[in-house]
Order: sequence, then C-alpha cells, then structure tokens
Amino acid sequence: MKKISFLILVIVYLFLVSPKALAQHFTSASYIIDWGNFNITSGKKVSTNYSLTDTVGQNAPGPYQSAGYKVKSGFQYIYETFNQLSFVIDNLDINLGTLTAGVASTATNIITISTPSGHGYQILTQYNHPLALTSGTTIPDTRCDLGNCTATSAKTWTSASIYGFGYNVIGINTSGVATNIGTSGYFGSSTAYRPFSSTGKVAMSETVPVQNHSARVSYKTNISTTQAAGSYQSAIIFTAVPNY
Amino acid sequence: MPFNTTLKPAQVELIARPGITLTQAYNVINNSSSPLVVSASVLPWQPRGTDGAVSYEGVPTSPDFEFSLANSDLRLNQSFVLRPSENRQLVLKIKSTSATPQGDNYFTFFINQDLGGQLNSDSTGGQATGRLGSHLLISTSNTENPPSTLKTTSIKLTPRFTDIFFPRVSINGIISNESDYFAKTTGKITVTHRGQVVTETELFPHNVLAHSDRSIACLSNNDPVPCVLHPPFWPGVYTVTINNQSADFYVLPFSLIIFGIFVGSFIYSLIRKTQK
Repeated sequence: MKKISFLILVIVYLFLVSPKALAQHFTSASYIIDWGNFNITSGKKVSTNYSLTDTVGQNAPGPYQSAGYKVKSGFQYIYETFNQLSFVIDNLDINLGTLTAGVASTATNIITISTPSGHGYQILTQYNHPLALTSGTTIPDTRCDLGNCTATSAKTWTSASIYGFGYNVIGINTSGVATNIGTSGYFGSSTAYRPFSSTGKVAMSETVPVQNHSARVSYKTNISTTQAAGSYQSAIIFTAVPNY
Repeated sequence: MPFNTTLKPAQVELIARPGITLTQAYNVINNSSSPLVVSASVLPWQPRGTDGAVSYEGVPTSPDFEFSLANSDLRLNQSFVLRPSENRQLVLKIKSTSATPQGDNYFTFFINQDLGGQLNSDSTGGQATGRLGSHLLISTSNTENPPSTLKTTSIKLTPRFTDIFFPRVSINGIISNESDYFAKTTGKITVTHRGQVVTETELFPHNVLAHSDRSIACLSNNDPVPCVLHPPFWPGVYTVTINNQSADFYVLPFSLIIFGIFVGSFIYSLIRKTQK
C-alpha cells in the first residue's frame, strides 16, 4: 500500500513540475495602429528565385508622432501574421422552386469565413423585405410550430400546417457533416428555424480565429392554400465582420 | 455564382488629434471567377457583450467624422466592378472636425455586394449578397498617450472545489475600461499554492473599448485561447490572481479517498472470507 501511495505521489509531482508552454508575443505599450499602411508602397514581391517584402516611403521606423496622428511603423513583420478577412457564399441564387400549399420548399447554400490572427467573427443576416410579389403580397415570416420563434430566437419548425418563411444555419465540417460550431448559440438543431429581420441579426459567431469555418444555410417556406400564386422574391444579406 | 471576397487589413487602430485628415488603404480582392459589383461604405458601431462583438443597431452617425474615398474614380456608396481575381486598393480618407470631442469612435469600413436590381424572377426565392467589414478604432486626443484605466472586475473559477486529478479548472475574468479610450489587456494570470507560484500565463492583448467590458483570454501562439488549469493538483487552496484581483479554488483528494475506501473494502472482504 505504501508503494502504491508513493507511486501516485511521484506521478502527481511529475505533472506539477512539467514546464509551461512558451509563446511569442507581439505587443508594445507605444503602438496604436495595427497593420496600417500609410506608406508609399509595400508588399511581397515574388519571382522564380527571390521573395522580397519591402516598405517604401517609411522614413522613420519606430513609434512616432507626426502631423497629429500616431502610427506604428517598421511593420514588415506583419507578413508573419494574418490580417485579412475572407468570406465566401458558395451560391447566391436561392431557388425555392414552385410552391405547393402545405408542402415545405427548401433551398440551401454554404457560407465560409476566415478571420485574422487574434480575432473571432460575427456573421449577421438580414433581408431587404419579406418574400413578396411585385404586387406587394407577402409570405409572412415563420413563427415556428409553437408560435414562439423570433428573429433572434430559433425554435422547431417541422409542422406542415405552420406557414411562413424562415431559415436555419448549422456549422459544418469540410465533409459537410453538421458540427454546429459557431451556430449552436443561435440554432439548436437543423430543425430550429427563425425568421429574417430587416436589421442584421447574428447567426454565427466564434471568439477565436478561424480558417475556412463553414455553415449550411437552409431556407424554408411553406404556404397555405389561400396564398396567392406567383414568384415571391427577397434579397438576403450576409454581413461578416471580425471581433474587435 | 459565388461571392468570394477578401478584405485587408481587417482592423485598423489609430490615435489622432481633432481636426486632422488621415488616409487608410484597404485591399479588396475578388477571389471568384466571376465579376463582382460592389460598393464601399462606413458605419458606426458600438461594442456588444464582452466577447468583442459589435452592434450596428441604433448607433448614431458621428457628426465629427467625414469619410470619403481618395480614389479619383470612386466615391463611397458608388457601385464599381471587381473583375475576376482583381485586387483593388481603396483609400479611405478620414476627416475629423476641430470640434471632435476627446475620446473614442468606432466604425466599420464595408465592402457591399450590390445586386444591381437582378433578382431571380422565374421562381420563388431570391438572391443572397455578401458584405464584409474592417473595423476602424479611432481615439481622438490632444496627447500622444491618452489615459486609459483597465480594471479586473470579476474572476470566476469553475469548479471552485475540484479533485486532484479532474476536472480542469476554467478561469473566466472580466476586464473593465472606465476611461474614454480603448486599451489592450495586459498582464498575467498567476496561480499560487502555499505561497509558491505554480504557473503564470500571459493574457491575450484583447482590446477593451471605452466604458465597456471584455472577457479575458490567454495567449497561445499569438492567438487567444480559453484560460484553463489542467490537473493534477496538490490538495489545498489555490489562488488565481489577475492584475491585483484574486479568487481561490480548493483541491481535495476525492478520487484518492474513494479509491482508498474501495481498496479497503476489498481487503476487508478478503480478510473476512479468509477468516471464515
């Protein structure tokens, strides 16, 4: 028994004295602009044999104050990091087809985002107006099965007798399998829908930097027998911004 | 047809005196194989929550800032075409009035895909459009280093009582900025046990905006990661300190006690069996 106790204590000790991870840290109390480019030209020049990063017109490397503003200079090291935001919508045409009363019509597309080092992101959705005919007749926004979903709260919508227009966003991996990463806080499952709003509402977000994180957006409409026939239209706007 | 666009830089932070004009270059890249009709715009925002999110709803436009494009052939909100794979530089001119109040203003420079009135009219549905933005944090000050005060206002450790082997302990903290200027979180999380420093972890330099709060994150490979302490721990009281604020969690040998009881019971039953 003493031997076992001793062995456990030795293992615990070894875990506790293991060295901490070291990381490189770029920060300074004196800089204000991150990744600003106030110079004449700068960039990466690449040829078959050479790769050069240059900064022309940057007269005073080092922190300085000039003409009433303060910049950080001497910034060729930024090529070591990633300071750009990329956003992809794979298909801009949302085609819900010919609508049949009581039968849900759906369409999907995939959104993908990559964020700069150190920053998470938000993707907001909004529409310009509800699905509408040119005459002004609209398909109402969905209120979901229990009438309790809103533009910021998704709820289950599976009933064929509940009419309206709504959407679902589910985080997926590169194989297209649902992971709900980035969307779990807004859409609990693939059957949870919410209506669009005319102002941007967050549909996907993460607080850490990401590369090529995707989500499948499913649009769904279901009409009643009294809904006027025609081609209903709306424009859906996806806004991607980094976290500050 | 896809929307596939890159905007850089994704964020710009600057400090300027009132009444000054600045320019900032942005590169917008159409990564798709189709031409893209876009326009540029600027909107003000305010922080939302404590995770670095922003809100554009109900944020008034500051009368003290005027934005325009320095490109000779473009204006803000004017549509232009980005050819396939084109990398276009847009130069944003930022002009503040001499009456601009001291303090911070936050904006986003947007690249908006324009529909140009082309909606799919053959069937029900519509057109998705993309928009991506780059934040602009502007501090207006007459001094080069405007004062900012960050304070750790809360530290939450989960769980407060833990075993020597599991689970890990999550450290959540809130840093508050009571000043008129944004600042970056600095410092370390220090964990002590019986007066000895067990571990120190550097905080990620998140921006804490004026008169707002920000959740802490730890620095790992230049990126923010959740702050966690991994077992095993020695039994006793651990103190977590972030910038002069501290909180305790307690480690008890629950698993060893349960293991001991189990082994003891087993041995006792063996002895009882042998005696019979």
